[in-house]
Amino acid sequence: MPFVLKTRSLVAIGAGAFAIALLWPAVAAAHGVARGDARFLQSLQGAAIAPLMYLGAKHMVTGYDHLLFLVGVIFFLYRLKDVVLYVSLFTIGHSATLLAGVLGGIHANAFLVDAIIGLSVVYKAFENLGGFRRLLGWQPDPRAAVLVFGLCHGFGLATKLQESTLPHAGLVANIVSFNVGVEIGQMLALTGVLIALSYWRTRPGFLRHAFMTNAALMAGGFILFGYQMSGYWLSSR
Amino acid sequence: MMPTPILRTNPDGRAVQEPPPGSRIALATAGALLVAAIVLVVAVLPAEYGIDPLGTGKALGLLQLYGAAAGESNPSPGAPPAGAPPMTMYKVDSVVFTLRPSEGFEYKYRIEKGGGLVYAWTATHAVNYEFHGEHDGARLGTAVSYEKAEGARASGSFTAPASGIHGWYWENPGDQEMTITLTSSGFYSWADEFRQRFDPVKHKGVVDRIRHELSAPPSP
Repeated sequence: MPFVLKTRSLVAIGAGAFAIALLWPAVAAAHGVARGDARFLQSLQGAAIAPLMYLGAKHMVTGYDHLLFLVGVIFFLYRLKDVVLYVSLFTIGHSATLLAGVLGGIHANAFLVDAIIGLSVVYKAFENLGGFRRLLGWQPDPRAAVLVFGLCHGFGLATKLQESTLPHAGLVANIVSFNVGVEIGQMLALTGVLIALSYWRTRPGFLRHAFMTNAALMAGGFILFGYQMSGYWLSSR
Repeated sequence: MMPTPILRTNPDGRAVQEPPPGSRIALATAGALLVAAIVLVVAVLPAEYGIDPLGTGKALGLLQLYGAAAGESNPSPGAPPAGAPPMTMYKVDSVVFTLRPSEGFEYKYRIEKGGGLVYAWTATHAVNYEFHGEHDGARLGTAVSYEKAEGARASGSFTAPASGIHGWYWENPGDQEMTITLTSSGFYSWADEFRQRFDPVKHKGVVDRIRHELSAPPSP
């Protein structure tokens, strides 16, 4: 009976989605550069290295969309070398568009960018499920995919900074500080995720639960996508 | 057409179990989509945007979250709803604020689209100010700037281009305490003071919201 999803699977998806729904208001409030921070950014005069590094790190640690994507990326990476390679590709991608976006004044629509970030989570979860190989018989190079989605995530980071008018004095130093902060936050978050994953992999049920976890990850990605697209629709009405 | 089964391997060459059957992956994908749609309609849309197609937001109390998070773009309880006869919203207001050195704060009105405001304010010395609006449905924290300047006074009339909260941000650039006196009349349902307390340790502002009693307009 290939078309019967196991009850246990359904329960797992449901539980995951329920947890996301419960946590949603908290994470949603934490995301974006908070209002007070935005006011701070506008009052800046010249370079403020430490505060912007802090804001960058805070954005990454509380940025559930970036975190979900990274969980998907490192889910099946067993060797530290591979983790470093993939995370570096992601970093190169998002740093390039963060700098280009803010310095070049490229204003991407924040809702659309965040919607694409939601889709990046869906993509990675689908890849982890083996969906590309099984259903399409072909899989895009995961390294290329992580780089391309890194570029999208960078535009997302840029829109967060662009929500407030940054002063020209010390602009480059401030953006670079923000970017460095993003990487620090990413390292902190990744360390936590890696520790949890490494422990989990030693458990006998890992591969069995891996399928459901990625299905739940995909549901999270779809929710992010729908959330951002509704925002886009509402804001452009 | 069945895709050929592929044995998945780890990057280090260790064989992992074969990927699950395609039908299972397709079902999991469809299940994820379905669950996402349900969570979105039942919880996220009511809590984030106040859109409640199934009434679940009201039943679960999630609509209150929208009220709290977007509190500024929601009419306060007891305020006349949008679309009420405009005369009930006609108010006059006169307030005096004190700003400590480097302090910034906001005073904003809830005005529906097309509602008018006539205002005049004077400060004891020049301030940086921005007259702006946070329109309903705009991303939280996104403001439309109407006027951004430096000066010790401003006056004029304003017609709200969209429903939302509209008002001023003032910042004392000097090193002395100063006062701002604001008088206004217009079609608004409430006016609140948002005072910024800057925490230099966390580089984070904490906003205190202070409700103002509005006087009823003098009878004609």
